[in-house]
Amino acid sequence: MSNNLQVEAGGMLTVALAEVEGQLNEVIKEVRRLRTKVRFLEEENKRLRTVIVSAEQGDGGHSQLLQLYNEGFHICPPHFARVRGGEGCLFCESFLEKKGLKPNG
Amino acid sequence: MNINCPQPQLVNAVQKVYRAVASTTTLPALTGILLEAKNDTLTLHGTDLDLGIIHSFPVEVIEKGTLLLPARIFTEMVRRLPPIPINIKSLDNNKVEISYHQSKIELNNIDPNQFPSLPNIEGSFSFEVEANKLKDAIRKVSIATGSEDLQSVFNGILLEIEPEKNYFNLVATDTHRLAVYHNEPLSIANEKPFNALIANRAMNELARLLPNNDNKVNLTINSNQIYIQYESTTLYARLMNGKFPHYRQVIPEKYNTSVKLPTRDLLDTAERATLLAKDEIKTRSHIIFFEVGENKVKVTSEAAEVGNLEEELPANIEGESLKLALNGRYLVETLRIIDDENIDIKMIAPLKPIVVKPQDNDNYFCLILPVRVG
Repeated sequence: MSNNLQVEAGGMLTVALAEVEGQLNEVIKEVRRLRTKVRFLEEENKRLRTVIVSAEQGDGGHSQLLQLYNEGFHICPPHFARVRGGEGCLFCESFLEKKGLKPNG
Repeated sequence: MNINCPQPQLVNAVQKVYRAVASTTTLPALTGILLEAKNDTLTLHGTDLDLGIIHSFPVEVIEKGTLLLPARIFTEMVRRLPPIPINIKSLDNNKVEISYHQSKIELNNIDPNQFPSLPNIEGSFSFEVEANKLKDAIRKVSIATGSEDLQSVFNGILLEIEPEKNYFNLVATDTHRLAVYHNEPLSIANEKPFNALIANRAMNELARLLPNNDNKVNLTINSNQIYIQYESTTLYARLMNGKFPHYRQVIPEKYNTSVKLPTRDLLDTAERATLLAKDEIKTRSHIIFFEVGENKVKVTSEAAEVGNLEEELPANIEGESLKLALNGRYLVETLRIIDDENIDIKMIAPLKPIVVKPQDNDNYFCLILPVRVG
């Protein structure tokens, strides 16, 4: 009888441990995702600071924006200072056109 | 709880709500399907908190009650049962018995009290639209959504309602293309315009659930949820945070060239050209060239180690000749969802956005930004 109880308790413990392990894996995944996000935001922040400082010293920031765009970053409000892929961005193109800025290439 | 219900109706209901059940979660209750039996009706409910689906159908209720069953095993099991009446009843030992013929299955019941309650369904705004119209609208704009970040506004579809002019818009963009659907709803209950940003996943589930008929679908929106009801199914979804970009500013006001040609002809050509235009570098992949000449368009593509393609299609051209490069995949995806026989492609210059729309229908267009090459 006591053996049966021990086996049952052991089984329940194994199930509980498996559940905890599953939950821990989810937490680890989330921590990894947040780490990547933090790194990304820190880089973006650094770029933004540079643009703001340049804008305060220069011509309202248009030449810095164009430089930022030519270096491969978004200058449109939705994605500002994020890395552009090789494909163009409708919102950056629209912004460039509105401001009369001509990118390289 | 104790009910009798036919297996085919149960499978249908379970498969509808299963799509909303959380696949990965730290809350065990979200991995279950809630079954609630009362008033000769069985209501099934699945949710991952971002999206929820509820479906009801008539059954014989012997004893009313609520169960929360593990969704994956319950769904798989019900699918495999014979198409005969089955009995589901709760047992005293926290188990559920599913019996059919002379056989029975026992499943563990999750505590139904742990299942989240239905968010408040009252909304500030509501409107009605035909099911097939909404289904078509979602199909047409969802091609333009896309972002690696699931929470990004670019993974959402913007719903705009304008009561005064009696129209609704669905809009999506991944910043390389923009799709806009415009149509009239059956009715709008409010007088002020309103917007909502809904996750593409929720909209796609809705499109999958909606029947292809003109039955009425009711949409109710409050500050953080949207509820969509048709017949005996309800889908609710959390609205996305974030501001959808001012998309109207990227839509050109005038064009220099218009190309009209049969949709099917260009689709076949674009599919062949895109198939060939493969490149190991992602940004150079799928690039096809589109050259507008006199009464014809020439589509070309090449891949260094595979070969090249050149096709000419007769077309009705108005305006200037030009040549541009674009992602063939975007063009193919757009042409596939245009059901009209002929399309109209409007262009300005090699690097300015092009518009692809049905020739005789102003309800839909997709804007595609050409790519810089060389």
